[in-house]
Amino acid sequence: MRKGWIWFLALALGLAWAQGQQPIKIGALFILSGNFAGYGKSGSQGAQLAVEEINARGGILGRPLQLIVVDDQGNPEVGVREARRLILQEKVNFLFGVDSSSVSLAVAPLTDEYKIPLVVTHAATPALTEQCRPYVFRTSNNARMDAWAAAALAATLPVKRWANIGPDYEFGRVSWQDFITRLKQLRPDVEVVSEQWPRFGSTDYASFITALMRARPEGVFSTLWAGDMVIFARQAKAFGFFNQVRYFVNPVGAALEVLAPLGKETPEGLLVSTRYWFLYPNTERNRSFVEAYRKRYNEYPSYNAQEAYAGIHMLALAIQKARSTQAEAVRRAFEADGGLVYEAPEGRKRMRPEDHQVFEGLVWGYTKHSPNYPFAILDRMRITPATDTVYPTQCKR
Amino acid sequence: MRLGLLFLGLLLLGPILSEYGLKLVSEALILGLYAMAFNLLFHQAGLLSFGQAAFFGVGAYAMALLVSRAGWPFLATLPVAVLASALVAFIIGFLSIRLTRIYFTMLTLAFAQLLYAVAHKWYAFTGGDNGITDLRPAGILGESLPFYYLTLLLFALGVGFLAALERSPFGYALRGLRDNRARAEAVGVDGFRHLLLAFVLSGALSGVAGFLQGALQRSVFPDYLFWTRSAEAIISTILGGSGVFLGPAVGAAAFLFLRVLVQANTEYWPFFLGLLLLVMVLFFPRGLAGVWENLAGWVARGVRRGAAGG
Amino acid sequence: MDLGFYLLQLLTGLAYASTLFLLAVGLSLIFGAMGIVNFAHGSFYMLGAYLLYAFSRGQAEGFWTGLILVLAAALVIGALVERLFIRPIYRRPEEYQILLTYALLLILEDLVRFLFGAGYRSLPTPPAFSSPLFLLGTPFPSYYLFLVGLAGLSALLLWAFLYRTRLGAWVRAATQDREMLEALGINVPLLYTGVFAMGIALAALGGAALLPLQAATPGMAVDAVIQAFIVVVIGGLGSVWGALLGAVLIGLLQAFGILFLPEMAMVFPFALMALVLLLRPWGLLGRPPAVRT
Repeated sequence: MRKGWIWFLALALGLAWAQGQQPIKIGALFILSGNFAGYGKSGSQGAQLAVEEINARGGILGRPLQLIVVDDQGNPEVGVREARRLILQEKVNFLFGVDSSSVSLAVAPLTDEYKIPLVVTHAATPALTEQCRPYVFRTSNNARMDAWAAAALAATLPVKRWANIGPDYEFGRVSWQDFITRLKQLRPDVEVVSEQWPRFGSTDYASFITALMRARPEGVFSTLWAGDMVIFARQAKAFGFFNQVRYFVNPVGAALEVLAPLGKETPEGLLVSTRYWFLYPNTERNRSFVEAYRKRYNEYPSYNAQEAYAGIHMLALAIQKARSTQAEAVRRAFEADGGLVYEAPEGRKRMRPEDHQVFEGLVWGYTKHSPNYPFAILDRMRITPATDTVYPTQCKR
Repeated sequence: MRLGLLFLGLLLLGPILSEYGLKLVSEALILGLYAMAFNLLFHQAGLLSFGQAAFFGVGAYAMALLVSRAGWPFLATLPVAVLASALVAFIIGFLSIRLTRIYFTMLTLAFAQLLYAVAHKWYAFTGGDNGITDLRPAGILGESLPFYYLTLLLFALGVGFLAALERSPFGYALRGLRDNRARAEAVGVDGFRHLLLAFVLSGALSGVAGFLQGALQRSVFPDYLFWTRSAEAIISTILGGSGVFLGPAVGAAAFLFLRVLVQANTEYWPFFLGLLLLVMVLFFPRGLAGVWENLAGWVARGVRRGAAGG
Repeated sequence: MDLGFYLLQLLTGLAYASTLFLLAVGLSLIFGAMGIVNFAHGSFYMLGAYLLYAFSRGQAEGFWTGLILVLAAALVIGALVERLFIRPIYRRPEEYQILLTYALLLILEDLVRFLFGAGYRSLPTPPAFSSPLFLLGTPFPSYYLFLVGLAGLSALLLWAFLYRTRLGAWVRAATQDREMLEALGINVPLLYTGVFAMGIALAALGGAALLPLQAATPGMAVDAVIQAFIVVVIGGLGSVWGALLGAVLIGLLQAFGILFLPEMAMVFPFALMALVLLLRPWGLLGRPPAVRT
């Protein structure tokens, strides 16, 4: 009889232990096929590295993390279908990642429906966090912050005549609107001399380049990114565009996904930024991250890799603080004490409790070639402090 | 009779399915209705439309705009969605049907792409590529099982209507036009009006599918009007077999389930789809229905031979 | 000053037109002679770019030999694809042709992604064209002029082939009456293989020639084939001159359209295509389809 009691206790303890060992499941949506697969690949690599680090330390709440990465093809419908499969079939506790803005907006309503938090690490439309959803968090910059940082920087440049060339969709449009509105607040004397809107995914920019040059702008703002920026930069350089235009300002131009394929062809002296630049800041924290990433994947971490890496760590921090994976508890952990703070390789990330948007400093620099790297790096770096990017929000908590 | 059994089976399937299963089967029914609507044009009338996405998208956007901008209840938007897609089909059909074969195909494609560009660029009205989100129907239809039954009901009505149409004089007239337009017109069939009516009916049914898909997905995006959506109708139809009445619906279900299955395990879905299409076109041009008939034929022959041998 | 600018804009439009022509003319040729709607056409354009990248090992010095190797490889690939996949579907309706060639497009896209990765690949401008010309005081990249020349030369050679050689006459005859050619004892299947390989080689040449100005990605094929369809539908399916006219129209529409309606750059091509289809469905230089009985 006594023996039976011990067996029962052992069984119960075993069950409890097994329960505790159940992994915390994170379902990540990235673009793994098509034109932007490079971004999704580096994002999933960064997230995977963070998961491995955390598990090596014994996981969170004594439970290991499990990352399930799926391809959303950058298509909102596929994104919703896959997010539902992750929630209902894979029983994930969190949704994560998302490269495309439209996918992020499509998936966001599911967080209310299923009470599953979504941590976004790439999609940059300001609309996502302006919807004030309780379980949507963004741990990376959005396009408005980038545009405001660019405007703060542009206001210090000796430029009055501005022009724009951006991809013809929401991101390009909103970025330019935010940039020029903000710049006119800071510098009422600036004027706009030309706006060009090539189709997203264009392959021929010659006519746009000559039309821009004809307007004789002193500064050109651009949000061309990915292949568009690669192609534009090569064609514009051939036209001598960068000799005529003194300042070419692109808040997404220093992505490794752009600079690496351009290689030694990158024009020098472009004033560009990116959400994370692997050589900044020169801290032990950042150096060890770059080292670990290179050791694991044999390449330098791009901004998307670092943002996904930081996103996993920040989510883990929130779970730790909440001592739970429940959506409501995690939300409170993100919001508490003026917003969760995380020291990422790129520096401090602080979440604004009202709209769940992280704010952080931004690094800018002029492109310059270096014998040590096969691509251009940032020179004469200029840091926009986080405070310069803090725009007002309508959300309330 | 067989259709009735199918609907009954789907009716009984509802409570057994998991939540995720309900979503998947609902989506398969929606895609099936869409492909069946396409096949009305394709098989009955012999018109290859590469712009079917236009009507699917207009149905979806009509629902989404009324729900999110005007605050209409979800179900109340159904008549408007049907009318809107029928109207767009009337205009596009009126302009396209005069053309034949590949020119008809290309013009329908061009119109659908123009609508796509409008949805993509007209931010103030359509929300551009940010789409329209939060379209979960209020009340009970926001739950999976009731929504499944609504989808099933509309699917059954649509398919029943198509079945009746096929056996009606109108259906005979369409097939007559398809096989030999000159002869059909010689016996007094007005080709243009018949084809235009078929086009409008096909568009309206595609609009119903779009109306349902927007609510199931909780959002509507310009992708609903993109040419790849039109390609889905063609792929489903050829996959299932255009010559068999329910072929497109079977093809749609197979297409969707395969896609989910492959996508869950690899990022090489395009490759698998390409391989599948290649094999189907080269070896099974009559689609899954053809495969089934072949199999049945072999089995029957095998049985006969076995009986003869025994 | 302004006249100079419009001249410049004309040149950029023509340069764009040249790339569109190289991309689209093979599509038109294949449809005209064989009646095949080749949705995979953009894939061979993509393949041309990737093959040049591979043959030149990413070095500008390898451009010329690479270009010749691409042409040779594309001819072989085109012939193989025709034999293996296209031949079984000649007599099948358009939808099977569209689906089969769409299948090829999907497979090639993933194959390239598997072999080369998803990143962007490009090539520096060949040394001969590295410095710009100066037109009325404005620098103009000489490589664009090379492109215009290449497209012009291709058009000329194609014309000479179609209208000045017996083989070309057969190809033109194939658009009219296949049975008649067979009755004359001409090996029509072989002729078809040749036409298909030629069309593919032109697309590959276009993709390769553009590599120094662009960046190749696996997804470029879909975009390219849609552009190509717009061009040939405007010019007239099956017409070589139509492809040229369609390309020039689209190129100039972009170059000058953005000066007056910069907002609408994205809509121009489809609007023009729909307009042409409404007013002259068989394209500006196409022939109306024969009435079927």
